Amino acid sequence: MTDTSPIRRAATQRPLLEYKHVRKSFGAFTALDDISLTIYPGEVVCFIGPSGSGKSTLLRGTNGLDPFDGGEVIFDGLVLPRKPSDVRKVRRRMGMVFQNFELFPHKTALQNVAIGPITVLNTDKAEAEQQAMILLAKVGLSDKADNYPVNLSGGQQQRVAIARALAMQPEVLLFDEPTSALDPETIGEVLSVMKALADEGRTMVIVTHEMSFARRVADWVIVFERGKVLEEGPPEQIFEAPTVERTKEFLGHLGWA
Amino acid sequence: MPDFDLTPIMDSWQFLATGVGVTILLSLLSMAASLVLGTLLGVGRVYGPRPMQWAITFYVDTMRSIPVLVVIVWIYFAVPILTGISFPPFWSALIAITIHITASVVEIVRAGVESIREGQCRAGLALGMSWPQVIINIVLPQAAIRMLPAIGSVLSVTIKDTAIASVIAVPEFMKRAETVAAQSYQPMEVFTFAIFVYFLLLFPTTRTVDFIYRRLSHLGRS
Repeated sequence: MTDTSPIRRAATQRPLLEYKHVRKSFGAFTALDDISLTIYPGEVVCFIGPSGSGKSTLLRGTNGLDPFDGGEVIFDGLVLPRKPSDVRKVRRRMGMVFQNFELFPHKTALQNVAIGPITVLNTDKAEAEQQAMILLAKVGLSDKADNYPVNLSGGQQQRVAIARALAMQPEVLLFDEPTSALDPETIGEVLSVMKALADEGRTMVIVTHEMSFARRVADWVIVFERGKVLEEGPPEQIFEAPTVERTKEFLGHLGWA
Repeated sequence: MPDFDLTPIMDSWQFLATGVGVTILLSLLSMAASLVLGTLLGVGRVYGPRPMQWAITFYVDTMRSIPVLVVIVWIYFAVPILTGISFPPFWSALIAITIHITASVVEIVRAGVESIREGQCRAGLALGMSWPQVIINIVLPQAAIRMLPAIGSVLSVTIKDTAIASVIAVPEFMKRAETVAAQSYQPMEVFTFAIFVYFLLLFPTTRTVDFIYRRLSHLGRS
């Protein structure tokens, strides 16, 4: 072990998201065991680690959808409230993208993107749909605006889901294994949309098994195991010179290094 | 083979036709009321506080264990004695059929709502929607499509149940048919005709619901 701490460029700013002593268990199983982490504005942070290591559980607790048992989330300087009406106001500032897309099947691609602003922000329908068109163009799906999700490929559905999250103009985007349910051919189109968002300087927290994507796009990588943080650092360190033996082992299982 | 004499039906066609009108009106009102109440109670049964869930479950189980004939007779004859409030026959039948059919609708709505994947609600909540917004914008529209085949069969049960209103002399088609049969002494012709009329009312209803479902079912798949 070395005691030289790796460089984290964004660390001079005020954190956007902090986890403090977060705990969660499912029955006797401890999913998150006293996790404390910081995410700075503009950073792309990837959570990696074996299945059941707690990375998705941490992400899902971030917007209070699955509240933690202990500890707290601090978003933009304020502790995430527990009261449903208060947590909603914070939640709309965080975009979330799910493993199974979860597009609304009874709405067209355009309506899926526009529904957030219309219902939550009371945006005028015409205006929301105009914005939605711009976002669909951004994810390369202008021509699919009137398609229902059933008529879109997995990759296209996930890109619509990203546009739907963007429609709320979130300050952070949370991705919960966004490519795990996709065919290998369509993974690339979703990752390139995500790469473009990262290049815009958006704050993104991504739970992923796409190691080469994490290596290429992440500013900071956090390795989880058994509800604890095994190691964190810039991708060069994690992927090229992990300081923890278990990280090497985990990446080795994936055929990395 | 006896002669098949249609003259009593021809002679009373207006009397019978207005009966069909009453049957249709009673069916439409009972369906509309049952669908509205059943949806509200179905949602309450899934998302409401525990005591509300128990109360609704008790109501559903009770109604499913009582024949609709008993409910109609009880509302028409017993309620006035117990409460002093009496309803005309048409209203008694409407109330009885509605509270009876609503119980079935509650169960269908509950099954429909519970069949919607949890992730759909999470997606709505993640956008910042409230639970009522999620239920109205996301859960119910999808559940409604999935519920269509079951709702179709409840609609046909509702139309058929209106015939039971004849026992409290609601002037609907079955009652009118009984009257014509009794006056003409030709029950065979009249009741055969009645079978035909009910079939003509029901067959298009179930076919239409089925057609709509086939057109919309893809929108309910998440």
